[in-house]
This record gives sequence, structure tokens and C-alpha cells, in this order.
Amino acid sequence: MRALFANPELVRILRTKLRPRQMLLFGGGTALVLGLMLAGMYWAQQATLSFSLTKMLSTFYFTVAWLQMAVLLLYGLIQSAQAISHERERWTFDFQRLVAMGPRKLVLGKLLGAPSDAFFIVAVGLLFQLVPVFKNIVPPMVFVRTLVLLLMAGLSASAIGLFLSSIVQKTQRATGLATAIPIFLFFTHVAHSVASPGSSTVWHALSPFTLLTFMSEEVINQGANPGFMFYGFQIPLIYGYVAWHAAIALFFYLMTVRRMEDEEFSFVAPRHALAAFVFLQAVLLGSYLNPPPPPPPGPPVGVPVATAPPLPAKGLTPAQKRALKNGMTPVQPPPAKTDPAEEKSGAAAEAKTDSDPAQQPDPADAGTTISLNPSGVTVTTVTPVAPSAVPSSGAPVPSSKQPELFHFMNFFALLTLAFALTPSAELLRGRLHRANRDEHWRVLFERPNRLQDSTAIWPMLVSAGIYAAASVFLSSQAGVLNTRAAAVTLMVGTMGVAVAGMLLYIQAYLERSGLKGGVALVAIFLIVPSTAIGMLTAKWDMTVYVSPLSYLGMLNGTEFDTSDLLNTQGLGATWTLPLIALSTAILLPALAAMRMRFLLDLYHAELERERTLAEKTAKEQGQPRTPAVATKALDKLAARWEPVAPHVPKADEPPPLVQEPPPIKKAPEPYVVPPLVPEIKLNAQPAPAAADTPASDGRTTSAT
Amino acid sequence: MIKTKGLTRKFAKLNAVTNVDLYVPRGTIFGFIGPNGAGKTTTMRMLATLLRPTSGSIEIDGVNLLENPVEVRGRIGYLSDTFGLYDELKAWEYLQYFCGAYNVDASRDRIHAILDLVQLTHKSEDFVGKLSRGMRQRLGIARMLVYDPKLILLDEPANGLDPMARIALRDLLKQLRARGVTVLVSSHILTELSDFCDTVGIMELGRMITHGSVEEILARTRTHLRLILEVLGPAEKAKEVLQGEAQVINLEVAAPGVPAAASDTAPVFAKLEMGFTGNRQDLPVLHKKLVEAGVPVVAFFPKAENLEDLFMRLSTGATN
Repeated sequence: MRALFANPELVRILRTKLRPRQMLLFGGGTALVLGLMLAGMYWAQQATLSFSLTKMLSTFYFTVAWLQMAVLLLYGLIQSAQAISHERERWTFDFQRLVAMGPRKLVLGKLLGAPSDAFFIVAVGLLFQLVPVFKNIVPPMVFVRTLVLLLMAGLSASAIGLFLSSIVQKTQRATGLATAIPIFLFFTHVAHSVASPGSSTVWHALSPFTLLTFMSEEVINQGANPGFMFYGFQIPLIYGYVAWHAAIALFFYLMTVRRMEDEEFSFVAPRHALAAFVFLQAVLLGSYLNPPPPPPPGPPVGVPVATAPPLPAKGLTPAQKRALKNGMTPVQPPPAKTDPAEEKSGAAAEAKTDSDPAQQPDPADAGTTISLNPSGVTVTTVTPVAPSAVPSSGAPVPSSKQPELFHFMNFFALLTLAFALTPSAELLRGRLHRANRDEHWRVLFERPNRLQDSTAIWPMLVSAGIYAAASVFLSSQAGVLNTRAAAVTLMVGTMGVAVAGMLLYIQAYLERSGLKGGVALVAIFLIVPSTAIGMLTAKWDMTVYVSPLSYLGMLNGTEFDTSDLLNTQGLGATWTLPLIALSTAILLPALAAMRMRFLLDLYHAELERERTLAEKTAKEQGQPRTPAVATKALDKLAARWEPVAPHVPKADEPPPLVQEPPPIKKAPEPYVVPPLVPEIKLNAQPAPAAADTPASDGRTTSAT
Repeated sequence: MIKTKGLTRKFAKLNAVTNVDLYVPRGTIFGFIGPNGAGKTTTMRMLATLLRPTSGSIEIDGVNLLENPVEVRGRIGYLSDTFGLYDELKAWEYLQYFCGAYNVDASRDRIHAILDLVQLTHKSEDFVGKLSRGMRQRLGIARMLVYDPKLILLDEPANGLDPMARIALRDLLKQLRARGVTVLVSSHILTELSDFCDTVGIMELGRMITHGSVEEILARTRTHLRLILEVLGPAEKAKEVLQGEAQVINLEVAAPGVPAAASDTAPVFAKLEMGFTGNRQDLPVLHKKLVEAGVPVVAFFPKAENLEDLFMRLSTGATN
């Protein structure tokens, strides 16, 4: 702890931000605002008949907590988001990168120091919050949980802010980006509250606002603190919150450290990316592999309820047995439709299905489904029902449903990883300079190296493999390990590799960073084709052929009632997009490899030309040739390219139209011996006025 | 101390630095010369580990920079032409921060000793934002001295300094050299560089045209001597004699000269400049011929070339 507070960067920031004068200003201002608020609340409440000091103080406590959270998530985050970009703007960033304490220690100092003034304001607020605690209105444990909540929110916000600051050049832009995050968190909280009142999931533990709401309900309304189910265990929300925010803070901290090491590195180190991806899989699996929630309270009296008949003890499929073993409750399918016309058509469809083997449901997954609760996290299985067994009044039952949230999350995680793992174009160029002429495939599939200039393809393949393994595991546990599971896994896994290949191709082709172009292309790919098809044909369910979002969204056929599209039309709808994704994942990296091959050829040709030029110059100046080692290496490279054989005319070949002129024979230039300068003798006698001069023919003549 | 081989850096389609081979021995001062955009700053940033070369290798103090950049950073001091300071800190706090960042003794005595070295002791308690430009420059150099680097890279350090500050900077660099520190400095003020640089390198369009000591480069690149002749009266007669000499080239009359009788106020001396392809020992012969031909020679000497002449001769002024 002492070493932590001796961090030079932290000390520097504290000296900058929290000198006594500033502390007085911040502390006094905060105390004044909170004091006025307390007084105002007291006066306002006192006037009412139902005045209760307990309720007023507990309300005050949580109002202050909300304000503290807003200070940390807005002001603190903005301060962090300016920490690195401001160093750039005032030309101190280079020195910071060079200091011997290293980027880890430096970023740690910034992480704690950048929001220090926000933490100071929060600390002043905590003094006011102690009043209801000492009056036993708010339990001490709630105070401790509030402290943890604020601390973790501050740390994760600071880490996110620092990362944003490290990727943008200007403070203004970093500030704009940072402001969006708390707004997003707030709306996430609102969305959660609306979607699933009363039930908690691991995702609820993400938002500090949600936790504050639950805590205030616990204190003010004496409600129970809800937890969430994770791998079958009931976990208090605060634990999930701490785990989430610790992971977020660590992940963004490591990414910022990497940016401080070298701005041309990929955003995240491959090993950190894989660790984060495994963490995500663990969270997703943990949120799925739980027993079903208790049944909702009974309906109002007088409303008829269709009850599910008990399942037969015998005759379960292996998938159902697995589901039962994993604590998932098989339920009866919903009752069929009662419309006579539909009954008729249903009977016809049944007859058709019976007669058409292609339309028969897959025996492996027949009748098994995952029904997600509104927050999309609980798995249950449905009794296998043969088409003929469906009551005549029942709706068609989908043969199987996939855990769409799992695939959605992985889809976006893989796309994000593809961007985060791609190094800069300058590093790619450097890697190509280190490669031999025919090593483009090796460069493409290279594992992460010490110089951090390998491509993103290998880690993306590993990530896709992790996702596939998790998907197979989850599908088998849910009893939906079928062809559709294979198709969706193939589609999501290969899409990540395809995006990595696309970014690499853009970089190799343009020789500059392709991140912005890549984002634009991915957005276009996700939005334009599906929108165009949907609007032109007015058949939105057809977008399942081109749009991954539609494909994933329609896995359970919830929105457009396309459950039969993926089930009964089967093959085409199920496999078109996965096969497109697969071919793109092969094609784009291959194109990138071809472009790299071209660049390698170009580079080595340039080397050869320079060598020839150097040799020519050396020959002219009478100097030795280029160093033997370089010459040997270049000769080896040049040997790969066969020289064009000189044209030998055949006997019956007509003479060429243009005769090559004979070479001009240059007469050798006579070597002119420079005139020798006679040696000067300072004390020599002057020459006679009329000296003998040599004639041009060598005879001596005398001047007369 | 510094060895680079085939150092190359490209930015998109721009070749900022191409195939630079450099060798700077320990305890010497190397001057980087070149027009703006020649690649000096890019080379310095690569040497400071702030920028990765596209290809080529760099070795500093026997350590490969590409593989161990962090290890080298503690041995390098870098001061860019546009450097910033923390204006909200006091001068001593600023130096204490860097002592901590380089994990060296951060005692007030040591900090005052360093401030004394750059003559800023009296400003110890002042905020950095209130220091003058020259003082900030000196504080920037003091920052590098706190951790005693083996190699100091200075990019245009004399920019914006007054003459006194420049002299102080020059003396400081000489002191550092005497302590065995290797200094690599770029500057546009070539006369200053020639005063204290042991070797210089001239860069243009990202390539190192030549490098070595000033005398060496002059001897290597000089094709002829430059002579100056001053004569009494008009230059015609001297011109006539010199035009007959095969070793005399590029003869120019800088001042024509006027006969003494023509005007009392006009200058009577003529000045001629010429190239001479012979050696220095050939000069007396030419001098003798001029005297014998009756040319009233007032002065006859080879023009001494300095770094500026050398740069102007070798550089074409082309920039990226």
C-alpha cells in the first residue's frame, strides 16, 4: 500500500490537482451543496403530515449516493479521459513513455490519480452519509457496500477513461466519448428494470445504478436483496458487481498499458484477449446453466389456466435425459390453435410432413427447446412431441431453439476482437520487411511474436475455437446439439475470422490503418443488405439469408414469427449465411496473403535494384562490391526468378521488321597525363630571361 | 554507443528514413544536419524507442533496441524540439517526479545540486509555468541529468534561446562529453555545431549523405580549393593571367576595383574568387606567376570552409 501511494505519477497528479487551495474549494463547495440539500429536505418533509426522520435520512443517504455515482461516472470519467490526451497536447507524452518506471506503474498512477478530485468530492459526501449510519437508520453493511460500489465504479470508469484517452489524440474527442458511457450505463439500467422487474441476472450486476436501486429498496422499503443464479448458485449482486468491474478495470488497464508501450501495437495483447474471451464464455455459460426459475405467482381468480400434463417417466429422448440431469425442467408444449380452418391446414401439414422425409424433424433434437425468460438467460427443455401428437388446437412447435443471447454476445465479442487484435499497418509493413519472398502464408498464420507485429488471424482462429467448444457444450447441455447449432456456430465463428481477414486485406492493400474503413464496411454489411431486401420485397423474414443479425434474431422466431423459416424451410435458410461466412473467412485472408506476396515481391525487387545500383557505383569508383553476406542472400532470392532466355531466331523465321542497329564502337579516350608541376625551391636562382624551351617535336630551340 | 544498420522508416507511402547506417562512439558529440523533413527527428525518435523502424537494426550500448526497448529507455535522455513541462509543479517538484520515475535518489540536496548545475537554484520554489523560455529549456536538460543517462538525444535544443543561454548550453554539452556521455544533437545553427561536434552526419530526403568529422568530410568531398585574391587597382590584369592557368576554374570577380586616380572615394582593391584544382603546395607557383606578371597582389589565400559551406555544397535542399 505504501508503494502504491509512493507512485511518482500518483504523487505528481495529487500535487497538481489536490493542493490545499483546491481541496478547500472542492470540499467547501461539496459540503455547502450537501448541507443545503439536507436542510431543504428537512424543511420540505417537516411540513408534511407523514414526516419521518428515518425515511428522510435514508432518502438523503441514497440521494447522496446517486450524486456520488454521477460525479464518479461523469466528472471522474472525463478527468481520466483527458489524462493521456492532455499529455499529448502539451508535449509531455514522449517523456512519460520513456520513463524507467515502465508503463504499468505509470498507468496505475494515472488510474488512481486522474479521478482523484472526484474521489475527494465523494469522500466529503461520505462524511454526510455517516449521519444516517450513526443514527442506525442505514445499516453499517449498506455503508460498506456503498463504499465498495463507489470505489469499483470509480476504478472501472477511470480505466475506461484512460483507454479512451490513449486511443484519441484530442482531449475534446476523449471527453465526448467518455460522456457517452455513463449515459449508456444509465439506459442499460432502465432497460433492465423495465424488462425484468423483480428478477436479477448476472447482467444486472453490471450497472451501479441498478445496485443502488436495489440497495435503496432494501433500506427504504425493507425489500430483500436479490441475487442472481450462476452455475446453479445464488450469488449476491454486489459480488457479481465487484467481479464485473474488477474485470473491466483490469482489462482496460492492460489495454492502456499496451498503448503506452507502443501506439502501433494492436489494442489488446493476444493473451489478454483470449483470457477476456474465456471470461466471457464462463459468464455466459454460468448464466445459462441454472435450474429454471420458480413458477410465477398464480393468476387472478377466475382466469382459466392451461396446465401442462406431467411428463411420462419413460420414453424420454437422450437429449431430454441430459436436460433433466442438468436440472432443466421439461415442460409441455403450448396448446394448439382452435381455429377449425387452421386445424384443417395443420392436419394437412402433418400429413405432408409425415409423407415427406425431408420435412421430418431431426430425431436428435425433436421436440427439445430452450425457452428463454425475458432477460434471456434461463434454459428449459420442452417435451418431444410428434407432429401427430400436437393437439389440433395447438400452434406449431419449433423443433429446437438456440440460446440466442449466447450467440449474439459471442458474435459481437468476436467482431470486437478482430478489430482489437489487428496491429497497425506500419507494423505489418515491418513484418513483411522481415519476411522472405515466399513467406506470405507464414506471415498470415503467424502466432503472436515478441515484436507484436503478427496478424490477428491466429488468435481469431483460437477464439473461434473457444467459442465453438463453448457452443457445443452449451447445446449438448441444453439438449439442442443439432444441425442448426452447428450452422449458427459456424456462422458466428467464421464471421470473426472473416472480419480479421478483411482488416488485414485493407491494410495490405492501402498500406495504412484500415480500422475506420473496417468499421464502416462491417456496419454497411450488417445494415444495408438486410434493409434493402426487407424494404424491396417487404418480406423481412427473407433477410435471414443475408444478415447475421436477422439470423441470430430469428433463431427463436420471436420477432417476425419466422420460426418455420429456419425449421421447415430448413436447409437453405439454415445454411446460406454460415456458408457465406465460411467462404468469406477463407477468401479474405487468402486475398490478404496474395497481396502480401505481391508486396514481398516488390520489396525484394527493390532490394535487387539497389544492389545492382550499388555494384555499378562500386565498379565505377573501383571499390569492392557489396558485402558478401548481403550479396549471397540477394543472389539466393534472385535465383528464384529465372531470367528470360535470349531470343534465338529459327532458320525459317523471317527477318525482323526493324533491324537492331549495330553497337556503336567508341574510340577509347586517350589518357591525358596531368602536367607535372616543378618543385619550388625558395632559394633557387631565377631562371634566365631567354630559356631553352622544348619544341613540339622534341627538339630544343633557342630564343633569339 | 550507437550502431544502426539499414535503418528505415516508412509512413504510409512516405519514406521518412531510408537505409541509414550510423556509428557514434561513446563519449562523443554527433551533430545531425539536414533541412526540415530530412528525417532527423524520425531517426532520433527511433533511437529514443518512441518509434519502431520499419526495417533495420539499432544497437545502443550493446542492447538491441527492437527486442529490449524498455531496458534501453533508462539509459536514454531525449529532449524534443517541442517539449512540455508540468506548469502546475514547482521546479524542485518537477525534478523530484523524474527522480521517482527513474528510481534514483530524490533527496532535496541532490535536486538542488542538479538545479545548481543548470543555474536554476534560485528558481527552485517557483512554479514551472512562470519560468522563461531559456529557464524551461535548462530545466528540461536538468530533467535528463537526474538519472545520468549514457546517451542524450537533443532535437533542436538551441531553438528560441538567447546567446547567453546558447553558450551555456554549449558548455553544458562539453561538460557532459567530458563525463563520457554520448550526445546526439540536431540543429540548424551549423556554426555552433561545428564548435563542439566531434562528428556530423548530413541527411537529406531520409538518407544519410555523409558522416564523419568535419575535416574528414571536407577532405573526402572537396574536389578543389577555393582561392581568394585581392589586388591593388583593377582586376583585368590578374584575370588575364589566371585565365591562362589550367588549374584555375570558376574564376569570378567579386569586386572589380578602380584605379586610384579615377576616384578618391571608390575602393581601389579588386577581389577575385576562384577554384583551384591543384594542391596547396602548388599555390606558391601560381603566386609567383602573378607577381612576375606584374599583378600587384595584396592578399592571396585559400578560403577556409566551415560546416555551413560543407552543408550548402552537399545538400540540394530537397525535402520530403
